[in-house]
Amino acid sequence: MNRRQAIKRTALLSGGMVFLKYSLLGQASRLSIPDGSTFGPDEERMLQLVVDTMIPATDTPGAKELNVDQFVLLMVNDCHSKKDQMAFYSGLHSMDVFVEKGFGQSFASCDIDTRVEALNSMNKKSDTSPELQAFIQIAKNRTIQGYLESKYVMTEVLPHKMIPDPYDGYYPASKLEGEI
Amino acid sequence: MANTNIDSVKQRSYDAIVIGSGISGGWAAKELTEKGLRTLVLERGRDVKHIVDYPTANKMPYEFEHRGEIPHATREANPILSRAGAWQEDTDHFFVKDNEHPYTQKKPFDWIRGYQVGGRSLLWARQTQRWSQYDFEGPARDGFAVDWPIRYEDIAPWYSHVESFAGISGNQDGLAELPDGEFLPPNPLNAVEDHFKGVLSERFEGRYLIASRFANLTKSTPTQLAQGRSQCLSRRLCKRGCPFGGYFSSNSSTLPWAEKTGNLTMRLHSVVHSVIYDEKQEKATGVRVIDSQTKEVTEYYAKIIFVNASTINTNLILLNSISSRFPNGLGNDNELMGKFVAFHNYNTKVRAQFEGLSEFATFGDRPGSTYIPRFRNVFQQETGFLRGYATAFSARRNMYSDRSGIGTDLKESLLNPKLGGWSVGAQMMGETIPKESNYVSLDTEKTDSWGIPLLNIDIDFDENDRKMEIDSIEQLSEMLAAAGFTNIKTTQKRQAPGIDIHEMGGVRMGKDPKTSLLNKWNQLHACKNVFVTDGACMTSTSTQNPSLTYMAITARAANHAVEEMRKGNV
Repeated sequence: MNRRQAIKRTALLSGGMVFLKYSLLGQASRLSIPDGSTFGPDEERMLQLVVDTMIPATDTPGAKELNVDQFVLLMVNDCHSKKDQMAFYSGLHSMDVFVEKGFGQSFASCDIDTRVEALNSMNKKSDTSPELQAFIQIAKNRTIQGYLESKYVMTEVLPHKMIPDPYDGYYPASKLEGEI
Repeated sequence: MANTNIDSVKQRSYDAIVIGSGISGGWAAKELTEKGLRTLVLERGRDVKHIVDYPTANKMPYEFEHRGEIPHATREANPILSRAGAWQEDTDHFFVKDNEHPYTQKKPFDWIRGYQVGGRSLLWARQTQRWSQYDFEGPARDGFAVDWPIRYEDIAPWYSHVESFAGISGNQDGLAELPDGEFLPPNPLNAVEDHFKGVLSERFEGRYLIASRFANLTKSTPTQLAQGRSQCLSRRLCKRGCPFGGYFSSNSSTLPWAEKTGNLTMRLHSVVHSVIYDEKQEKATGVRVIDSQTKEVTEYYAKIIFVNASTINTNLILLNSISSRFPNGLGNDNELMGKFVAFHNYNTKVRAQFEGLSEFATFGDRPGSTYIPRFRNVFQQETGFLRGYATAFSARRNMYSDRSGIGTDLKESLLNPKLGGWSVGAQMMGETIPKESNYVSLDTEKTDSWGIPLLNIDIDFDENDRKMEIDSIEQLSEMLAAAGFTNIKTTQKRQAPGIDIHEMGGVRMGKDPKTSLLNKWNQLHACKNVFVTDGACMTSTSTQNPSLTYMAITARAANHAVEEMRKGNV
């Protein structure tokens, strides 16, 4: 068993708390970049900011409060190819260059509206690098997944029913269309 | 054998041995123990006790570390298994990993296995349509394989027998090509499925959309309550194992039932090496078992032996059961064993959208969907290919949310999903023709961890399959267009056989010992106290999901075996 597996196993046994502490202490990264780079505290802070910008706290907690950045890292680490991991890492690193160019300051120094604007333009622009696009795409998909499939959202906001209602194949659409 | 004293032999002797505890082995165990036979069931894997050993059954999605996904490195290490859609984080513990029991693919073949008590009955798709007379008459009429030694009338009472016990939902549709049975209330159809059903009945003679028949309890009856099983709650989490016994599996139904008789002995971690043949008595006397944990070899003895190891492993065991009387495998005088393996073709799918009936949506969930029985070449040959295909059909209307934004816009949109339009999907389920060139055989050099020869698998699609795929795309597209469905999209996959998980044959039934291995009671022609009643016995494949037919064939053969034993014939 290697170190990462050992930590993961301990984290599972203790309900995830060890993992969280471990990450906050910034001792090392869960994400081992195949080219030997490290995903350290700076990268983690940047990812947290991205995740927080994508789904911010409003009258309900946002992605950061729900530790979705840690979920994104876990998924990139465990469920993506090496190619994806490299693109994710270098895309994250190229973010500041892109933001400096378009907005005259680093991503972290931008106010919230500018951060939204910056991510929107990365999301849409076809002239961004493939790595940056890969980063934004993976970060966004995994953020949405981590948020919607968080315990909080699945129990407090959009309760997930383990036992569905009896089937109705002629249910009035108007009841599901809300204000429309 | 180190220990062959009489007491020890006695301790290892039973009336019957059943090899395998999956969907057919479970039925053999139930029927034989109910009839009073002391029965030993050999399972190569670990125990999976009903409810107790379903560790993920009640977990919420967020309780899975990767939210259901299998990690990338695990997928990379299991290229075959990773093609099975049902293999996810919540079902991982019920699947055999690629390196656990390797085999040689002469041509690509995805062999998906579940080595545990209950086998793949924990994981099956639960579709249970009967075969009709047109299916059993198929090979004789169309001149392929050999004639089935049985007809629909032979099996019909046994279909009823297993349906009543297992609990099968369905509608009495009155179709000769898909006979009715003993059904619990059918699955409800939705507005668009009913619309499509109407269009078919008005404009396509001989084509019908029906509620699919499936092994989930739409109602619990005293028969299933006596098994400790209650109504299906439509959780659609069947593959994790159902704590309510809402669907049929060996674990929830036949095995605990057999256990209650007091006549059942289960031996776990028991990899069967071979069936033992006694040349003086001219019959099989037992089986040779390798303990997968200790590698110890033990022999068990019985008067009758049921081989239900699942199609390919049943072929493996019998081919490996070598004696001077049977140098090519037990009962394999004609050297046809392992050959004429066939499967089901799921290669094409047609999807579309529907703008009509927008006043309706669906709410809640249901365990099944709908089914279009085979309509090609049913009553006579009418196309440029042999046989035909059934179709699985469903219509749904999902909620969706716009994910294009960032920030509060995105959050707002995610938390307020909107009702989308209707979408429909139709998937072919084609019959394939058994051929001598589609076969499994034993490797002459390589062996597995237990010293048993590795299997070579050499199975592929053919020209008839391709023609049928094209026809299914044309016909299903035309039917969907006639119903006013739009944006019709077709896919024609090139997936390897095996992933349909309906491999059949190799030890086929037939009338003539020269051209088949089993007689009409599933006895090896040349060794009458060995019965094969899993997928290996299938002479042809038809289009229907095969499990219900395995169950009926098994119950029929087991009852015959008991009668023959009582008469002293086996």
